[in-house]
Amino acid sequence: MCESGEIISLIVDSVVNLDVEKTKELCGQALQAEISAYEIMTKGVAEALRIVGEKFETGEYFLTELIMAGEAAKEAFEILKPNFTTKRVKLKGKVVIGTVKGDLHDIGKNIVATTLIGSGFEVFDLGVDVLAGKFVEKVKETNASIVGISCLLSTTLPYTEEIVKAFEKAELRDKVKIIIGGPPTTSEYARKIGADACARHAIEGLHICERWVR
Amino acid sequence: MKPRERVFSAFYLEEPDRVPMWEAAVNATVAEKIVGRKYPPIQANPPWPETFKIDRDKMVKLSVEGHILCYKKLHFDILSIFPSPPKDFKPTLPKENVIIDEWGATYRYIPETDQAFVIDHPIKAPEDLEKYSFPDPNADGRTDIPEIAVKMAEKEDLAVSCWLPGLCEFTVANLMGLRSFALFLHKYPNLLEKILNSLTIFIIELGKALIDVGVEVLWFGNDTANRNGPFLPPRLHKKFFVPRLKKSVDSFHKKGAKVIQHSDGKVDMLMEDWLSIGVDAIHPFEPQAEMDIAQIKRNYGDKVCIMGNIDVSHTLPFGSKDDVRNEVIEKIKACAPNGGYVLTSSSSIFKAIPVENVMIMVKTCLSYGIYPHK
Repeated sequence: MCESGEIISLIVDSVVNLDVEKTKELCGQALQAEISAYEIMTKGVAEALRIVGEKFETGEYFLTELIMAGEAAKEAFEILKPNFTTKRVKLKGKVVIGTVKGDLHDIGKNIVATTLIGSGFEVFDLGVDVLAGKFVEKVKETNASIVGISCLLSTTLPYTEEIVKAFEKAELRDKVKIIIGGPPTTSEYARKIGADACARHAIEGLHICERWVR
Repeated sequence: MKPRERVFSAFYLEEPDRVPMWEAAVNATVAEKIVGRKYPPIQANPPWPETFKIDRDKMVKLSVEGHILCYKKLHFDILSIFPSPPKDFKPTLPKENVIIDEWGATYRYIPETDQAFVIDHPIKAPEDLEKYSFPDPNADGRTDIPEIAVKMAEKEDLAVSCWLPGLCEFTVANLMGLRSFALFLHKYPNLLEKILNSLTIFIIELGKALIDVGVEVLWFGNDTANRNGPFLPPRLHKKFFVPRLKKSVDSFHKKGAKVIQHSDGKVDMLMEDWLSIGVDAIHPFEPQAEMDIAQIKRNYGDKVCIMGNIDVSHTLPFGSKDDVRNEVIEKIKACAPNGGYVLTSSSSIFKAIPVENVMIMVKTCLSYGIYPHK
């Protein structure tokens, strides 16, 4: 059996090396060695995602690598999740995420959701083709402080504004931060419709959400 | 100059009489407004369910007639068509607005945006591959639309280009989905090679059949990047895609056809790969993905024909007439000198783009795109 620091560092390596099976195996070993799920998640999985994010931002890693690292983190989270609940570990924050009405693309949204989960956020994924009211409903139900809106098409871009307006109408706009993302979105457009931010990719979205909950 | 001659001079990196125009696709609703009547859209994936409700021969004729009229009204110099579904193919329609194509990909159609999205893929795990069989590229009827289009376009002196499944895009978007593609690429590379080999055979066989019925230009619908860069590490693009794409392009060149590589997204890291494959033109350089076409022209304008860059994310759908006009003039100024430029949008004409803005784009090119340009 490895020392706890050693297992954690092997978990970091396995996620960075995109080895999903090895990550699962090591997370199981770490729990058996009585390392807390919180420590495995923050010092192991989240640290690995930070390294992968850095590699992605500097052009060393590409989208398929980000996806595989996200898969490894998601699998690790599934193994660690039961231990989070029993030990009441505080997650970083709650995010409601979905793809706008009329748009069935979920790749970008799924990568963002997985990255957030792997980094310690609780994510409520509404799926694709989501009506504005559904975002509001879910925020009311979960008390989430962040709303992530994904949009791939210029055709459906105006629906992002509908969602911002729905939060204004429900008098919840000052309770949530709204972040948009997807090919036709820009920071300028986010400002124009009254959203708080626009992320060019999942890692930038993660950094923004982390800033908001700090 | 006749349209065909105009566009071919651009492919040969020579100056025509004016900048030629093309679009990979024009949305059916927009096309209906341009033509003044509805016609069955020409589209390979998914085959539109309505097109199976009418007699096939009639559908093919109506599609091609409407399509040629649309491209003529827009003064486009080269048609863009798609292969037709095989004669014996009957789509599976599990529920309203859902269709499963001959590859096994499931699409859902959203009437509001007039677009269809792949919602399920046939190959998601290694065991799916064992029972999967690729469609026959030479299935009876697959070249019906191209053959009729070639005959009708001849009368108008229009060149004809036809879509072919792009090796990367078709694998990612139709056969597997990006998540499964990433899984195969990094975990089961040998199985991915197997898929790519079968798809390459399909592409080469279909391409040759299209050339045999008179298609002179083939375009790969081959999205390989998003706005942050390539989907996959460039070293893996080189390994998995470049040799197979080159094999396809070589076999089309041998038969005298020209090849356009289409990919949305930030593609600067892939340009050298595509030049090494030997494609004749590259399309469509999205401004939204930071593709600076003036820079592309400076770097590659003497090596390959460049096409596109009129912004479909903001200028065309949401811009004013002046915004459209100014952007067209700016792009012509940057790219027209010495030839080798075809004006197109930075993707295709979709439903959110007002017909008025399409017409401004066209009119500006007709007046400002006249050579010589210094």
